[in-house]
Amino acid sequence: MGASGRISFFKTEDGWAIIIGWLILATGSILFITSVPDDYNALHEKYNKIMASEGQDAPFKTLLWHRAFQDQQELRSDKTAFGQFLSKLTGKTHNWSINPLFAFYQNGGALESPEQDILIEEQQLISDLEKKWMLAKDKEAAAREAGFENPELNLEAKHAILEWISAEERKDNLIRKRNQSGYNQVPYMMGLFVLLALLFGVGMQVMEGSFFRFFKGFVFIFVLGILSYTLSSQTAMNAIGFGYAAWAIIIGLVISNTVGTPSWVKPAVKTEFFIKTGLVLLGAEILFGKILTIGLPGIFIAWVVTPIVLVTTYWFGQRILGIASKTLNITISADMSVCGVSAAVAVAAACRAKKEELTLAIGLSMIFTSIMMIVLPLFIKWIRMNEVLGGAWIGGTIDATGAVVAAGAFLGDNAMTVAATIKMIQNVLIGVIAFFVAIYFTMKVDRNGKNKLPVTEIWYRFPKFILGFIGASIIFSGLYGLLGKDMGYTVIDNGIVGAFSSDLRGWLFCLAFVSIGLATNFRELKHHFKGGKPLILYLTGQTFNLAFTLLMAYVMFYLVFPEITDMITN
Amino acid sequence: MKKSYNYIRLVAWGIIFITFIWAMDRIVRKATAAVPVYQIILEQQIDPTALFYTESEEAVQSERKLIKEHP
Repeated sequence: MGASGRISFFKTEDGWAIIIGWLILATGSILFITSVPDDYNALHEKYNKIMASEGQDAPFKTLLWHRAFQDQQELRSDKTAFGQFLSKLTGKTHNWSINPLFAFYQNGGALESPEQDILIEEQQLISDLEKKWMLAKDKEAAAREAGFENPELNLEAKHAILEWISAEERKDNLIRKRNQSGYNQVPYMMGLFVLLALLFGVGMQVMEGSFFRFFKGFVFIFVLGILSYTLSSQTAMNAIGFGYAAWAIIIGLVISNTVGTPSWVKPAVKTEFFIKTGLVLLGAEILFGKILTIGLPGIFIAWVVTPIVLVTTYWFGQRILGIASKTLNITISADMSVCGVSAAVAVAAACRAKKEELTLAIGLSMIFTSIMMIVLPLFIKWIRMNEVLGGAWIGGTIDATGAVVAAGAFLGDNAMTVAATIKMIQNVLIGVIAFFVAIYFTMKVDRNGKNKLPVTEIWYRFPKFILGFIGASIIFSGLYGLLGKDMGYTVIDNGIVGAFSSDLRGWLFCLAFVSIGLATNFRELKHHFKGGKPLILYLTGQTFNLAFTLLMAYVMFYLVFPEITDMITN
Repeated sequence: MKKSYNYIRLVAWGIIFITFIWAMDRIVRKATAAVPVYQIILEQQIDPTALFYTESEEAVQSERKLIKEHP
């Protein structure tokens, strides 16, 4: 690349999205990796040894195995003092029910919800737990005495242990509810504001020489971002799945379509800049190792069904429905077939879709996610579908990960595990799909009638932030592999990514959604909905997705790999 | 005149949002018994609005459990 190429890279949003994204990831990596307590490696080894030896002795997971597993779960970077600080710095607002101030500040002693019933329930649970613990201990001792040779005793012990675990989880949930310690999120939010304003302000200064104009407008955008998070963390809004993305767009839309977006805010309405940087950070969350978790059935369901549904829906939109905008069509198709909002954002950025098109795709996804999250598990239970099959169906079809977990949890632990894991494998596809969509739109759709584009032209048009996104994914997948699954869980899942970059990415998406709202006109949005074509596209695609995913899940979990289904169930 | 009308519209939207949240809060509280998924979300403190798996503590824990139980 020549000197002029280098200058142009540093003058583009794509370039600065990569610089800021990678700077955040590199800083997070250095801080978290160097602050891991020295004994964590040895502790992981110790717990693994206990689990391995117990796994060899008994045909079921013993009490000691579960204790070691639980203790190992606590080896997280976000539990260290430093990890907690970074986690708070990038943290969102807290859940609240009646008083919105509790989203930011709570005195340790003053809890919002009435506590008496929780205390009574907790007492009952504790006494129940003690009984279950004693029973599990006795049953296991009996099975151990028989040398784990008596299948009946083994089964009794296994069930008693599972009951104890489920009682303990219920108790933990209650204690978590009751023991909310006090918090004050305000100084951390101010710190986060300064951090983001400086990072993006410097980028804006280099690109447009507009640090101070950006800074002034960013105050407004950030406050609206906080407001969006606050409204989404209200208990009922959280329960129905009305998240920050929806609130951010709605608040922005209302302001821009009533009093209008103030002119001093406009220099900070940088939708693309926030989205692209957020997507570079998202790259670090896409870890290829995750696809190996439930092996081939999951890969077939997520990696075969998803691209077929995506391409078929896109084809249907173009050929049958005749949707005028290809970018709208591909954004809705990706949003519906992959994983909702994150996929819509990535694909919209890759094909340079209009803001209104992304808004429409996100709106459709959110509405149908909140419906499917309730209806699909009820239907599965009603027809008495097997847990594993139901979980796979949920994981492959409901858009948002959180909703997949909630719907899966309704069917049971196994269903939740299968659903969440299939969703994870499907999430890995985001990068690949965004990459191919960028290539397809650069080389085919945006050619403007030219027969052949020279390579330099393709490079010029290609959205380069996609390379930052894919690069982050490859580097973090490699880092996870180097650290191993245990230290990867400690440092990446619950450190660099889980406690730092993923929250920052959430904030950037939120600021991007606020910006989308502030830059969107109701009339333009209405125009895209003409004839209800986007709705028909979503419904048709989702119907095909539901049928094809169920068929593939049945074939994979029952006909081709029944041993994996047995392994999960037992 | 137009400016103040626009501000009235903005305030009206604000009132609509507050009413919406208040009404949904009432409905969800009452519907919790009838809609088991809401019950699970509230009891287990699951965040159904998590867009991606790293935002969902439960998704990460599920995967971890699967890896450990079936290495």
